Amino acid sequence: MATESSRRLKIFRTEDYWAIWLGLLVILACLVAFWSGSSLSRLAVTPGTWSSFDELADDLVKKAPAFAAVFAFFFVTFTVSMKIMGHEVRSFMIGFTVLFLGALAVFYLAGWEAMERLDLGAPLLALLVGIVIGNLATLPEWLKSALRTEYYIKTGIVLLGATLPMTLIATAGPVAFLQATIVSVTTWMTIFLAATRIFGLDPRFGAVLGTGGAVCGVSGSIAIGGAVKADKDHIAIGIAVVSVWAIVMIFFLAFVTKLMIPPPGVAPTEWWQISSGEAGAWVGTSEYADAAGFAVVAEIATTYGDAAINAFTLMKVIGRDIWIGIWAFVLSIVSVVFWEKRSDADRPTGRLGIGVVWERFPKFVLGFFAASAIMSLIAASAPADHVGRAPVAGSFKSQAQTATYDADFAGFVVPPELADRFVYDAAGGEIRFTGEMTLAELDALSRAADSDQRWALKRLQHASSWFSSELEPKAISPIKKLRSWAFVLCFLCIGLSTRFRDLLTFGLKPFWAFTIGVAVNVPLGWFLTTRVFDSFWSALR
Amino acid sequence: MSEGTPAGRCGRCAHFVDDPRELERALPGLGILSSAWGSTRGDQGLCTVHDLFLQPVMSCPRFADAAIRNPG
Repeated sequence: MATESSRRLKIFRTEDYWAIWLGLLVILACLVAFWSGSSLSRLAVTPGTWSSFDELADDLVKKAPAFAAVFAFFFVTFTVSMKIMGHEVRSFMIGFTVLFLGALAVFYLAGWEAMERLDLGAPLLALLVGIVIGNLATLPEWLKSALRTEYYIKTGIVLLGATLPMTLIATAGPVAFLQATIVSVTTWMTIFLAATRIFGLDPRFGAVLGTGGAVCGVSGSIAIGGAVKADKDHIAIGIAVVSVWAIVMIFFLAFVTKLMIPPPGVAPTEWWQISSGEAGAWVGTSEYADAAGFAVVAEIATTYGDAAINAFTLMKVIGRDIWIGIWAFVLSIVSVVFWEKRSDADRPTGRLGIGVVWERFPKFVLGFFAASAIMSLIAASAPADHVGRAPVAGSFKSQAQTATYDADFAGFVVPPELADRFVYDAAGGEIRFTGEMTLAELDALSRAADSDQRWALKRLQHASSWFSSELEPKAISPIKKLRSWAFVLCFLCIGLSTRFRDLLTFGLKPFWAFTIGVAVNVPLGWFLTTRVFDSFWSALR
Repeated sequence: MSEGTPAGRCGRCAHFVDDPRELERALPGLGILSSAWGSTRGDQGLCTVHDLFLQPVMSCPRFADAAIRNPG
């Protein structure tokens, strides 16, 4: 009975499960609005760009009701869940309000023309602003109570699931797993051997440090700390070393990858250049914590699109995070057999069962999979008779191309096989296409087309996809906006809660052991991503 | 205390700290990039006698029943 009740309670006591409920609630709300012929896209917004205070004021006034709605949603859902988890919510409510206003300010700061020239997006800016404030001022307790980095990032990851098709996860999973396993095992062995053989540290301490660098950062250190019965001080040092390196790597990887990725729409040509998908995969192998890694790839995504976020998620969450239970199980056996001293009869004993694989499993990932499955099923149910429409005069904008056109389709010759699907409505000033237009069909239509007609046809092809013209803008786009809010809240939290003075208290031996691991991990991650699995990650969108 | 842990195990010991608030106080920096409220920490906790981070299913001769020490 006790076991059953505690299992039931766990569903309401951990951030992982709440991230699932919240994420799925957002997705459900967006879908209900979509199915009822509406969209939450007017409510789920982020601040725009500006170059003068008048523009800033206009944008703020125009979007204020939407910001209030986003705030109200997060405020209520986070407060209720925090209360049920056992937090003191009066402080949280004040703290979250200030945190949200801080995130709003960071968004607007990032949208300033001057910041765009500096190539500084909201993710890095949130982190920088947070670090400056957190290290110069003493934060009040009520603000600290709202700094729930993990909760916000887990919610964001569940929302991210709605934007990643299940087919992509299924096809990319094995590649991500293979690459992540090579990097994880090599990094773990390097840190462990450096810690134990070079610096003479306790093997359990080496395991805590190694897992922090190889699997899932601080969460990995804690999971393994309990499995191998590590000293409290070893856990504390592991947390500090991993956190410091994770923060340093955010800036290093963001700076280096942004230098290596060519401008949007341009393919890498130099040997040192990488695609944004490769950048995401590399960050996925070489960052130590989910939140830290997302700070890098979200920053990359502000300029280069979501490929980096998608690749990172596949590599880090699916390739590394979800295997932490296996690591805990194996290392608990190794600890009992090899590391624990028989002479210490007073020390707690016991061996873990296979059940630990599930117990340590990061449950929020289930929400990520569920979100992906739901959206993939809906995307697969696109109506076959969907009619795409495009104006004969207008503009076409994609990530790589932007064009204005004014086409005349009078006398346009339609290939006979497409004659029953293509319609030119001269009176309505539009062209229409029934069903989704394939690239081959676009080519066939474009063969006899002039330049303006080609742009109109490209726009028609985009509109012919029910996913691109209906589901994406009306249901998925609002989810992405709310995900951006969750991410920026998270990055601001990382900055505000990182006090280097408090963290830099560890000795040099664990620091150097971890650093040797970093020195192996980063080039190995780069090599595997850009030289071994490059064709796969480059093709990722 | 871990409700699902058999008697005599760390999860039911008075020296075992698994309250997430206390854990985040005892391990400064834990909340920066992780959390004591997450699945990966789960029901693991600190033994205040041995200063070890443990699974609740462990046991030792120093066990002190939390239900007797803190009735109710």
